[in-house]
Amino acid sequence: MTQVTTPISTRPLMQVHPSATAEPALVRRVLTGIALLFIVGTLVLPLLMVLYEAFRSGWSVYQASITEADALAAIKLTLLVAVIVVPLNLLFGVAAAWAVAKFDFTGKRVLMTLIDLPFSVSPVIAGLMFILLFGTEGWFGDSLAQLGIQVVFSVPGIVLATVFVTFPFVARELIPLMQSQGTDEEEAARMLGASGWRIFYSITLPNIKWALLYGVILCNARAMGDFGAVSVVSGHIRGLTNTLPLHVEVLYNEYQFTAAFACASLLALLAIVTLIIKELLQRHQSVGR
Amino acid sequence: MSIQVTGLYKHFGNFTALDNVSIEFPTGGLVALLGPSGCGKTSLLRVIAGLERPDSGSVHIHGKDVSGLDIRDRQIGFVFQHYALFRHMTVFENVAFGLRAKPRSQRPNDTAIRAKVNQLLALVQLEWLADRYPAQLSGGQRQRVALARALAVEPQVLLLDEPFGALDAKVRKELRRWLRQLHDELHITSLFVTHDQEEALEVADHIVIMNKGRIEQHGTPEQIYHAPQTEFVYQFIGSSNVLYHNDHGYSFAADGQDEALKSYCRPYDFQVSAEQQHGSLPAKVMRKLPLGNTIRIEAEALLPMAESAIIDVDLAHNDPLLAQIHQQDVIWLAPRRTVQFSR
Repeated sequence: MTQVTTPISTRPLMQVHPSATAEPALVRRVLTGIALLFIVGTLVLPLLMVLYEAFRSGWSVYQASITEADALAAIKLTLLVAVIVVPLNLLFGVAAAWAVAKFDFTGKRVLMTLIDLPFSVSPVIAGLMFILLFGTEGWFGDSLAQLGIQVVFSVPGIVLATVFVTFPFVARELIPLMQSQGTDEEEAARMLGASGWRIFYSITLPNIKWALLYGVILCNARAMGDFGAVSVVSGHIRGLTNTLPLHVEVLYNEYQFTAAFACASLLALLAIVTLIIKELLQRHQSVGR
Repeated sequence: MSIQVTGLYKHFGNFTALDNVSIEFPTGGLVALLGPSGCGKTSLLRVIAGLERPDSGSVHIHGKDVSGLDIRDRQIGFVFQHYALFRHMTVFENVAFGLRAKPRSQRPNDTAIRAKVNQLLALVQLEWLADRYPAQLSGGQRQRVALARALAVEPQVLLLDEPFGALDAKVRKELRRWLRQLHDELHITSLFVTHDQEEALEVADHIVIMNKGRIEQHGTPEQIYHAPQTEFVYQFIGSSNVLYHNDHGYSFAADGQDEALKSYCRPYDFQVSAEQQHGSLPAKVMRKLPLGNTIRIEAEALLPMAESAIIDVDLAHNDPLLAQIHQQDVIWLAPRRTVQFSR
């Protein structure tokens, strides 16, 4: 028996009434227009303004503003903080996510809540906490002073505050992924005789690398850009404890607009680079095995 | 190597997964752990593997207590239900993993690893897929890679958790036969978990039936099928009908009589007729299901009270009676052979 198939073109088309899947043209245009206006007004225009103001007095002024001694010190301090904080939170984040996603233990919910805490606490409060703990009037202030260690109004305080503020980024990125991947592969590796460390670096790590990198990028962006917590603990000592965001504020308050915007443009640049890397990573993540 | 477990208990919160399980698995056997979901069969397998720690009890492999032994020293191959292949490694690297993970002193050199992996891939007939990634394989191929990977470390014992659970019917059948052949070749003591009685009867040379964390019965497939020792085993291993036996003969309902003895009858153990016979019970034909060589009739027992019972009856597909029976007809059933279990 021969099989007769109807060519696709002659089959009756499934009728979908247009109004079932689309809004009238006017509504569509108005909605799209509002969304675009919103994005331009709140995201694009401010960014362009920063760049415009930064370069308004010309390239040489721009160059002078960002190579001036205090600005350089602020850039160095910002980089230093990021270099210390990001690896720390990479380590904490991976450890916390590994514990939460792959093991069951009492107090797991408490740990999850603690990981989220920095997101729910205002950065200014976070900064104040460290002052209360390590300031001269604080709990540990005296004992630290005797040891000759200054935390508050100094680099250690800035690092601590930044660690606190950026703590959730890596862990938050990893936990859902690791939970969805389950523990099957780790168990399989264990059955095949792999040590705990080997399981981690040859099974777990390759499976989370893109999410991990993504978390690190976000963590870094926040570490360099945080203002609130750092502002409280730094003490605003020019050339010593001012990070780049703080330096921008100081310049602005002193009416040095061009210099302020020049420094701000560096942070804006960081944001743009971060977004681009993030976009590339997400593409990789969805394509990657 | 023989596996012996003694007095195993395992609880998960309020749930009892293993309730005083003691059994010895014969050396070189292919054993099925059979039971409904939640019966503890997977827990037993994971306890033997060392992936789960029992609350009490011990596990001996070839006479050696492995309870305190690290998983790595138990020399057990484990095939996971969803294969658990390393997704970022090629088939070759997956199989080689166990060899590469060995301590430096025991690790074979690269040439030896290559030879071993190729030999295993040949065994599972997948040499041509060595450079693929797990995501590029079919379910049956993944299962075979998982098996090759488990065999690479030359385990004393092979444990398989629902090895055919996620495969479609045809591949399943092929793989079952293939596993049977592989076992006959390698003679490695193997345990596999399944909830499919057909699979257990077809593949295993020894079946352990579990229910609610306990072992109901174990023995050869013949013993299990032809001499079930408990009601649970009888009902689990094939279709069955419940009858009640009292002074007047059989009935499909207890009729509130406490002394009525519960009996079981297989669907093919009825004498079926279109007219009433001595000792036969009436039932109304609801559906006829063509199951190939046999035709199953689903009939509703005609009972004096409001109770209802669906009776399964099997007839040979060429039984002349079938032509006479139509839906809603009344047929008369006389049990030829029934089984009782004392309580």
